[in-house]
Amino acid sequence: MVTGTVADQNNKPLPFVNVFFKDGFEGDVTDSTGYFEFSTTKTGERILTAMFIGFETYERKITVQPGAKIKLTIKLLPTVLQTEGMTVSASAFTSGDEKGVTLRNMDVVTTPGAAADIYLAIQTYPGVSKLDDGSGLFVRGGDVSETVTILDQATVVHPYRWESPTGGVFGTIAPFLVRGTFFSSGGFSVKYGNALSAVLAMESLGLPEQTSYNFNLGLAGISAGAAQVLVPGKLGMHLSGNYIATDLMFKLNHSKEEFSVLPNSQDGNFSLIYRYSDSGQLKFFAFGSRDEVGVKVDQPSFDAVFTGSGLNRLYNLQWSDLLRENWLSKTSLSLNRFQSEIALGIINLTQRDDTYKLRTDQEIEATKKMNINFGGEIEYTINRFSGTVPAYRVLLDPNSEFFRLDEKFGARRVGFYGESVIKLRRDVALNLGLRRDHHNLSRQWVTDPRASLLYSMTKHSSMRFSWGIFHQFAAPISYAPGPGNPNLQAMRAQHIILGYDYRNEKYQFRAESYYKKYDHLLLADASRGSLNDGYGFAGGLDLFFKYGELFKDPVNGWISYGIIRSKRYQARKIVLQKSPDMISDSYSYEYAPSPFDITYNLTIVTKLNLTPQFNFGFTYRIATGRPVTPVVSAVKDPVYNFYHPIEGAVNSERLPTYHRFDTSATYYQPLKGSNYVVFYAGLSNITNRKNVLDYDYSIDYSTREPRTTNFSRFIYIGFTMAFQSFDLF
Amino acid sequence: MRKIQLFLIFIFCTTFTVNFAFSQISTDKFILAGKKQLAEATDNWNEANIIKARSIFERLLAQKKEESLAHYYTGLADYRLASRYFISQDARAGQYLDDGIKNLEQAIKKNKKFADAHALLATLYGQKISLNPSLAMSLGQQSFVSFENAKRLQPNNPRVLLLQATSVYYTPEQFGGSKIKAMRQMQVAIEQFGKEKGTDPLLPDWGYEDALMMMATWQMESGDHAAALKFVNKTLQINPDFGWAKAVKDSLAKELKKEN
Repeated sequence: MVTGTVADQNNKPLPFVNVFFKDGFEGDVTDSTGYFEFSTTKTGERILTAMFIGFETYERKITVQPGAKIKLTIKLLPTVLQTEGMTVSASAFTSGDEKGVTLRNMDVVTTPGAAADIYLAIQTYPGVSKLDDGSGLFVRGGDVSETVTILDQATVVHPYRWESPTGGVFGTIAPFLVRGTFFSSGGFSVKYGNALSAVLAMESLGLPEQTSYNFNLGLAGISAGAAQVLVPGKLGMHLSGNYIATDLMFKLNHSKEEFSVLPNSQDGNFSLIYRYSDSGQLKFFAFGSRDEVGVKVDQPSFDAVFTGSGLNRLYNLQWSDLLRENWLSKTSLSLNRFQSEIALGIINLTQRDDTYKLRTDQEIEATKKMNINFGGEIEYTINRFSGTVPAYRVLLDPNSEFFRLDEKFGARRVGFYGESVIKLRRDVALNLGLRRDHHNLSRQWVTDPRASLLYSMTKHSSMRFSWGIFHQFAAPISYAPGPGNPNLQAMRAQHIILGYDYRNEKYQFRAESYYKKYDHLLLADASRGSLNDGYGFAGGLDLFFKYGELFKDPVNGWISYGIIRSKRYQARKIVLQKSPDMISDSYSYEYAPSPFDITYNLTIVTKLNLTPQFNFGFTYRIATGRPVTPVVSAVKDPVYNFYHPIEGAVNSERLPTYHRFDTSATYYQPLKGSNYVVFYAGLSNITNRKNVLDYDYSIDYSTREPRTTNFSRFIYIGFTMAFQSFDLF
Repeated sequence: MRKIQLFLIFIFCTTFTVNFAFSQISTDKFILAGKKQLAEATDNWNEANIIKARSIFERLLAQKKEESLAHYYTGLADYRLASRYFISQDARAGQYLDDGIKNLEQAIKKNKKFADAHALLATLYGQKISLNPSLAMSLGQQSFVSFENAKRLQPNNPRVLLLQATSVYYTPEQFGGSKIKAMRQMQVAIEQFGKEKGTDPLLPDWGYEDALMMMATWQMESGDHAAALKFVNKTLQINPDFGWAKAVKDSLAKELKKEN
């Protein structure tokens, strides 16, 4: 006879617990006092199990003697950690359908001011600084190049549309091309290499389960897409095209005069998915985009027009399958080809980057308490530059002297990693990992050990601690003898993060403090292009509060607040009088606030479900102005007719505080069947604030004018339709 | 020597076959016992007994008897419990829905042509959306596809029709729901239940009473108490122990008395 009681950690009796021997059916379900009783005839060593939903399964070996009476007291502990899908590392935001996710596709497309762009939506999350109106991700004091973007294991080397030194205007990948997003602002897993600050990993759409179509028409463009089932459950494809033309939009908003070529862009996507077995899948993803813009630029000596165009293509073939029931294998082969052409006066430069990559990731659920992940990648990148650049940086006149450039430089990086995620106790999980990378141009192996510890204090609250070393190699062209420095080493960062997270059905609160130490950063150098002598730090606190559920609660949204202090050892441009008729530019160095030291950053996103069909929302952002280095005086060149600027202390001034207030509204209209149409309208920069992005100096640097945002008050309207059949009404 | 080899092969095959058959009989016996207990517990809407019935399938699965039916009936018990906790706004509703979805996905993995499992899975997806409407974009489509799969496999399966009619009834009109359409579909489901002849006692056969009582409830909501009473009486005719019908009958009789 086996008898006993089952209670929880507070000794409260647990009714309805299933107590039984695993190798037979003998068992009982506890009554309201937690008591159970059952008889057994089988003797010997046996495993007694106690199971109840929401609690850890209890197992105990028991030796059953003939005729013996066994009395047990069992304590069940609530499940606080699920190994499946467990995120141990700090600073992560994930999207998908899982419980507790923080950034869904619908969050992206319904965030006012985010223009249905993944990057702009991520900027409303903590840890990402708002430097200007663009979509660049400047994470925790890091440069935009320190964030790596990955799609289905492929690296998207140029993830922005209408590229600029601060990223670009929008992200290249639209939210409805992806089904899941992972964004980490630090302390991320060893899976991700060659990134100093952050990682944005996306997964493209899978096999369509039904044929569907969508169509979108807005002030700035038109797009259409289809998900086509070719063989149900086996073969399907996604096809989409997007044409952006801003003529009408700028006309309506009275702000087109500064463009010589209005911003325009076209992109297309095709993916084919073949599921050859229950678990095995082949996916081919192809994406291509083209963008173009022409802007009038203030130049004293000629009618200057800057024109830029970009062509970005990504091809990826991915295979995934279960090698065993607990072993998921993924491998991909990709090519990202980017080409840009820029022209301004004497500058006429073509850049072409090709990145070939082979990557494999293996995920093994070794035991119920341990997952093992390992993998590797080979990445080959070629940078090509050709065209003309001015002999003197500030002389852009089409008739001025120039250099002809024709540089081609390739680099190979090989990396591999291994990590284990171990559930040490029911409430403690540890992620330990190590990665190694080799770069052929730096002739260097780098080692990145990383560790994260998750402690779930209760079902709703947890603490996370992450530590790790992160390396990133410079672009291949930086190593080229002549314009670059062949002796460059990998840049290095060390992250230390401590975070607290509380979430329940209604809201989520997260607080994270971090310290990031930089070494071997690139520094501009007059003779060798760049040096590895940069160093610095970034430290701060990020707060995040998310309330309500989209479409469920009448009021929902989030508030994020970040405070940061960041300094770097940086170059300051100086002027050297080498002889009475020769002046040259050079550099001195000083430790000063980093260009991304945005002391505080506050974003409030609120969405109101006014009726089940009508939603209204707003986003308000306020951020400290970014640091700038002023020009304090200038020296006239003795030979040519231009001035050499003399810079003041590095980043010793700040731009005015950045404010922006955006609103949007959507109206959902169902059509016949599952078809629907959504009408949307957005009013951006509602206060028409002229945020200052930089300063433009006069030719002799004696006066300066603030360069303000291109995005004055702005209205945008359109509609999008989704349908599964053409029988709409 | 050859004879000894043949004898050994024979012994091995016989032992294997007998063991396999014995094991199958034992599994079937427990599935039948669990199914009966679940039906009785549902009749009385008895939480403890539903959990007890569920525990039988849980023990089968713990022995690595990865039977599609054991997963299905665990999912069905989860559905019953989740529906109960959903009404009382108990947080366990979400836990049982997640467990039910996991079990039904397993049931389908082991038997892709299991229409009942596809339909019940579609229903659980729908209930997840009720708990968290922001999942509608993704789970809504999965629910739709699961219903489509179920209908493709067995267009006249009365439980498929019952679950879909219920889903259509409770889906808001702006998202494609329709009370009139749902009632029409439920009528077809009731007709199919009347024609259903169970050939294998292990397979699902629940739902006739649920369909009739759903119609009774909907008639009550539309104010037609007489029609509702007809459905209640029909329910008690086929299952005099069905607690839901017994509970409703008295209150309905009172309403009708007031009307008269």
